[in-house]
Amino acid sequence: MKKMFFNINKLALGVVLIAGSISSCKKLLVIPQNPPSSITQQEQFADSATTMSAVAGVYTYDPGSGFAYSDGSLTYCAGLSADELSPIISNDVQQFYSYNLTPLNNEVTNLWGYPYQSIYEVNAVLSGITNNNGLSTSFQKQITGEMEVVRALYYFNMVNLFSGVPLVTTTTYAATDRLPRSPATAIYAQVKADLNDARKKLTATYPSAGHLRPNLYTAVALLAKVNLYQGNWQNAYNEADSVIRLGGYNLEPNLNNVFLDGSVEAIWQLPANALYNVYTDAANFEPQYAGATPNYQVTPFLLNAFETGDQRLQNWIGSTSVQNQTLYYPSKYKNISPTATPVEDQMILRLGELYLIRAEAAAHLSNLTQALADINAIRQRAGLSPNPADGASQTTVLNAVMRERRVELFCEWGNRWYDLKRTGTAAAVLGAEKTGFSANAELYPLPQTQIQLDNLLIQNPGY
Amino acid sequence: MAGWIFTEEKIFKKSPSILSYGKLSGSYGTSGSDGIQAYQYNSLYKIIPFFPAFQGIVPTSPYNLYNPDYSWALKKSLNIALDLGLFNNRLLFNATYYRDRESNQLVNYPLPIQSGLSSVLGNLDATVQNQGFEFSINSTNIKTKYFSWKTNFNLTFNRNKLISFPDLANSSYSSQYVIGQPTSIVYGYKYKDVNPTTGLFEFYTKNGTVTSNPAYGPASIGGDEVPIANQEVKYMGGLGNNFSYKQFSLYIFCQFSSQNAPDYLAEIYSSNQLGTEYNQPTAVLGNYWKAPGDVAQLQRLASSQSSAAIYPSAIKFDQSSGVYSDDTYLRVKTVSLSYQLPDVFLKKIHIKGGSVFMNGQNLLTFTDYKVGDPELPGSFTSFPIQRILAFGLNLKF
Repeated sequence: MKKMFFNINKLALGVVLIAGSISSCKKLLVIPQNPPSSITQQEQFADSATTMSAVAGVYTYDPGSGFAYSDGSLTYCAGLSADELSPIISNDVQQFYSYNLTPLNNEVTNLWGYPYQSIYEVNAVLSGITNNNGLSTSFQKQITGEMEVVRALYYFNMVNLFSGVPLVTTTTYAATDRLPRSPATAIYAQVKADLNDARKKLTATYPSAGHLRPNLYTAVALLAKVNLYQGNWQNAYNEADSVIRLGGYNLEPNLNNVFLDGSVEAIWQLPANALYNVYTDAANFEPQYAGATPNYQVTPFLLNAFETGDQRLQNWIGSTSVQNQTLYYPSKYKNISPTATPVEDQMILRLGELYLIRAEAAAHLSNLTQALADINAIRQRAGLSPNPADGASQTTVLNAVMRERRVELFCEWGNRWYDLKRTGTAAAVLGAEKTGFSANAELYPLPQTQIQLDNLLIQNPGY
Repeated sequence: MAGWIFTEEKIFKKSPSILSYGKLSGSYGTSGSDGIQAYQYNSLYKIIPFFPAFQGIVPTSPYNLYNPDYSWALKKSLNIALDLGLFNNRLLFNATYYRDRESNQLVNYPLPIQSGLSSVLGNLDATVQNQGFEFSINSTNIKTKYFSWKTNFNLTFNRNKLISFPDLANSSYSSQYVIGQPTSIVYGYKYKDVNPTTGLFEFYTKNGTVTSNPAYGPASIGGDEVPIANQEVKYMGGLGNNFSYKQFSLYIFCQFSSQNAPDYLAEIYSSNQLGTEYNQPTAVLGNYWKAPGDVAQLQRLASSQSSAAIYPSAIKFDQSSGVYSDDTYLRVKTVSLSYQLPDVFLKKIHIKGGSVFMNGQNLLTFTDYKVGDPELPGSFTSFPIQRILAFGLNLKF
């Protein structure tokens, strides 16, 4: 017993000596800042290389933890709500077509939730780079501008689908977990503030290869769209005009090249590197194999909107024969095989839309010559004869713009749904074409779960 | 913690009594717990799995929210127990009263998605109480040279209650909990019946009027949802009997439980709606409304389950008291009969030990619960609890 006590004493002395020698030059024990599989916010934004990983996250093709609209749901939901698509399978998507949406609809939950998750990512990047001494001023400026464009895109779509939504520009949950819906005007104000600031920060040169990260003209193009929606015709005209004249883009002469990676018409596109390396619109719309029934059919309303000889009908709409019945489906994106070439990217903004924005703004400003010239540029590319200038009135030209938007921008970013709503024609058009439409259907319901979590949120009327 | 074996006191020692053992004990304690991973207070980034690099850059995304001030959860436990031994400890009886109060729980506090992530790890400033009684009896009923019969029995009553929750009305739990009620209450619509004229399910609104399309949400946000069910187990227990006679032994164990639980209608109206291509229980056959004047259990059918005429009331029905029913059952869980082979016989064939046995599990169930297994309420399509019969021979060499 005595011997053992002695031994323990010696051991203790040894430990003290070793500990003393370590502490003299270094901290005794270093607790790592983060668990092994993740890094902290501070480390994520330590330098430009690590910061770029978080920025890449914002652009990554993964709804929920990357780019919110990469599952293509905005395209088919808004397409069903408008008069572009009809569902073949009957589930949650059916409700968009037949205007009996409930606040429990899963697609609605995602259309509301994914953008907020992505907005958080954007806000986290902005807070990570602001006042960060590890980053150069020019880099901070570049990334700030890019993130503002991304955030503006999210809020622009949120306000068009739901009207006013909670406005979140911080990552502090204590400040965001109980928010009422801001009025739609406040959301639009935020969108424009972001885009105007991005315009000052971004340059005409794209920051990386291709047109995958926003540049100056991406911000201006989106601003043109926002001003068009708000009826600020002169601003919309000027902005669309500057993108068309100065941006260096061209209308892609071959319709089949418009949605490819590196398209000369692309103002902003994202790589379609989803699980199967295809853009989800193709996966959602194309039949999975020869003879398979597509998930969605193009409605007769859209098919009939194409004039005879319109090359877009040949190239952007596919058809398949199932049980001796011809079914039509959107086919702007065609790759359903991960190895297929050439590669398609998800188009967010393209020059074709900007021509039609300038045309519409010009028509409202009574510059009918310019409006017709822009419409005809799009028509010519589609193999159609120009609309005649003789006898054109402001009304006929505006109708011509809307008709051209319908066949040029179908199944892209909910354009048709938004157009019907912003021009106040939804009730007349959809009420005549389909059954069940009511004025309340113009806004989607807020997800029920979200109202339960934040009882300051007020449901849209009619739900 | 304290215990007192009162049968050791002089007054008991002096006079012989049927009470052979008696103990009263009690304990009170406070414990802290975390049960969470390290570093979760920090705002962390992770690589987005399965997705390729964006222009050669590995993408990362945030996966938790920054919350620097969370601490231990606190649990205060009170226990009082009485142990009695009677007839020379041939009958042992135990009764325990317990009360656990847990506060400052570390939870993934749900957040509206506008906060960026669906929850944040933090302390919940609420107190939840679990209190109840546990009884157990172990008895040797008969013990002779060749025959013995032993019985054990246990019974548990647990009552759960939310004691306090500051500012519950303005928290994300406002439509989930009620102070003074168990945390297992369910919000939903109060079901009336199928309207004989329209053939649709009908519910009571918060004002007591009747509608087939009640408003979403609890009354606090203008909806018609009220607490409709309490899924707490009312009582549960088990009864075991062990008989042995010479080389034979027989063990029978029964379990019982009672609660209010979702029934087969919950599954039909959530995922297996009538009209979709799924197997349906025969219980629904002919039980739906067909013509005006019918008094039916289920509402009318339509050309499609998503038809606007029936879909809203079907969805509401699934969140109503109509899909909850009493789930009380007694199940003969185990019956086991074995025969020990006689030693004399075994020695002759040079075997050290051996027995023949028959084992049965889930042989019988007594319940009023309809369609599906009362042990797995709310689902009739999941794999049921199996009835097992096993026969065997055990030999030791």
